[in-house]
Amino acid sequence: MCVVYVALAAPLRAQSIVSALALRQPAGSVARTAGSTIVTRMKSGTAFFVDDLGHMLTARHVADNCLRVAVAKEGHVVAASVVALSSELDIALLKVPKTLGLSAIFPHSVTAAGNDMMFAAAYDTLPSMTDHGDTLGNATVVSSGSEAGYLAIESDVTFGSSGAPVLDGRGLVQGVISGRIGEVTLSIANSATIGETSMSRLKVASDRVLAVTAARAKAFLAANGIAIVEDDRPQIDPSSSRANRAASISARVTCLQN
Amino acid sequence: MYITSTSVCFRWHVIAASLFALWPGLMLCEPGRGQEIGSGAGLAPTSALNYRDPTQAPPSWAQFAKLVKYRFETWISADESVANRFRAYVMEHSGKDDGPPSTLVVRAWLNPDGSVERVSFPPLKDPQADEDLHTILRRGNVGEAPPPEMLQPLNLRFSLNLKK
Repeated sequence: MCVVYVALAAPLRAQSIVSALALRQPAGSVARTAGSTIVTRMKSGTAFFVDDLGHMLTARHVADNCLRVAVAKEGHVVAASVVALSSELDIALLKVPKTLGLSAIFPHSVTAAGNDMMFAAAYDTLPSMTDHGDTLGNATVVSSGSEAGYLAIESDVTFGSSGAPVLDGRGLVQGVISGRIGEVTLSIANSATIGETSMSRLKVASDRVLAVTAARAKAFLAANGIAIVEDDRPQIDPSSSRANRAASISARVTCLQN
Repeated sequence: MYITSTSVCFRWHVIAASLFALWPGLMLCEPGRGQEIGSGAGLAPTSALNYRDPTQAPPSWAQFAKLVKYRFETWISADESVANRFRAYVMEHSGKDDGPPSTLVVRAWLNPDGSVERVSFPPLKDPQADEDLHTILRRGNVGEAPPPEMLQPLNLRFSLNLKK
């Protein structure tokens, strides 16, 4: 069995976001490299607000090596700055001028356990889910925190979900999506030919995804002086759609590169 | 919100929405102010006996109030004709006899799907501005369903800060 780790940041065409940034970005609001810079590539993921001051968490591989970073939500595009990149985990801290929507609530002491139902999705996929309004969960905890600061979940999240919050049934953030544990090659007996048995190899995308645990995310935020809200009480009604809460706290983050 | 075309900073915000938002049966400000709100809106006066300690409000209520606050801010700062006209009224008439009050308590009723069913606030002195604000605050969906046990209406106290 071959296992490959696949990050879930999505490559994009650069033109539209570059145009939006050129129109909306205040001068000097983001870090830039010296000299002329030509944006030739871009990648995108999801980020979510962690306080009312515009700080956001995302995956490190979404926010590293960027000339500029843009955050988009509900038709608004704002420039973001990269505040910190974790040296240990796939997590990064961004800052935009203002929190757009709600900030996430982290658990104070409750942790995710095996088989707990979770919700995680790329920001761009949330509108279709909120239209239905009944998404209670789309992921299941496989293991919690035993993999060096990561939570393993079974999920069908796709490209663009890197950095997305993993929400539990209370609406609390239990993790930050990092990447998928790649493809699994299966050997399948093929009995189509009478009298003969051959073996076919089939590559199957794994549905196992790693997320930085809430505990490690909180530690990262604390190390960077970010005050967050922790509460073990339900933040949403148990019957409410988690997709709607995810949409309230999340945004798309785009990294422009040369 | 910033109106870049006129270089005017206009801020419409809820004063500590999560703390000062009012629900029936929830004490979040002094009783006298609560009575003022009730009579000003043409509704039954409220009394201290009708309120509870705000710290006892479920967290989901405060989160929902913050979300409604954010949506109201977004809608009123939108670059479209009705919002532009309302902001122009505030900027031109603030501090004048026919201008808006410095603070405004808005009562909001929300449907289970997150849409705003209706809003109520003491009438503004300009009928067009009054109509515009009703239109703006009722125009969208806040994005989440109100907690089913949450008492309505939400009472949100806004202040209008005009910075030139």
